[in-house]
Amino acid sequence: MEWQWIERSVEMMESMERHGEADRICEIDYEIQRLATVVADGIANLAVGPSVLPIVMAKVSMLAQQQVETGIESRDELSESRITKLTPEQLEAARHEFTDEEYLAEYRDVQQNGGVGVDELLLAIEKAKQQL
Amino acid sequence: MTDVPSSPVPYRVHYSQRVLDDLNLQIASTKDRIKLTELELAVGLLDYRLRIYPQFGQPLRDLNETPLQVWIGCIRPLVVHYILDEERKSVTVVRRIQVLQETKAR
Repeated sequence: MEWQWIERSVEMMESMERHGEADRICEIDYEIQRLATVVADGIANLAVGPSVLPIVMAKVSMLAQQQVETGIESRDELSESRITKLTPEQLEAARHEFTDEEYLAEYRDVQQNGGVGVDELLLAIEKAKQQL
Repeated sequence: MTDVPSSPVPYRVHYSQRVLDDLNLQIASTKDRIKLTELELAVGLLDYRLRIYPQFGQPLRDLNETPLQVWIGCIRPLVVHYILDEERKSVTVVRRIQVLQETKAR
């Protein structure tokens, strides 16, 4: 399980680097150091010595994961609440909006050129916000 | 410690360059930070839903001589047309993300 988290974190950092978000990376590094200090202080307060560190970390990791998953459930509920079904008339109109050839041309273009990921869409919106 | 059940494999989601270009055009005229933040949240939720369960939308039709299906999905305030490839577990958003001004359907 842990390696998946590490892999995701590395992917996220790489994506942020590509987008020139060095400030954000520093912010995350700072936050990780802050968390490490909190854990170290907690161990010192328990007066149990550094040998318990692996046990403490395993438990902290487990609790954090539970809380993150709770967050994911919230996101699930949030997206669920926004799903809207189109009326039969809207659906029929959408059905004739584009031809098979138009869909396929763009699909093939994405297959050949890779398309873009959601990061690019979010970055475009973020840039628009910064320009206000 | 008990084993955590493995999560289902998410679908890979790609957007065409046209989708990005159209989004840029749409947001270029938006001067409202709150609207942009709302859009940001909606895009994130849409992508999340496409990754975990793209069948949330409604099928439009099969594409001729391919195993591909065209779907339309609406997560307020966004509407998207996407191509679902069940064999490859991939979703390709191929037409511009339409931003609804007001919800007309429910």
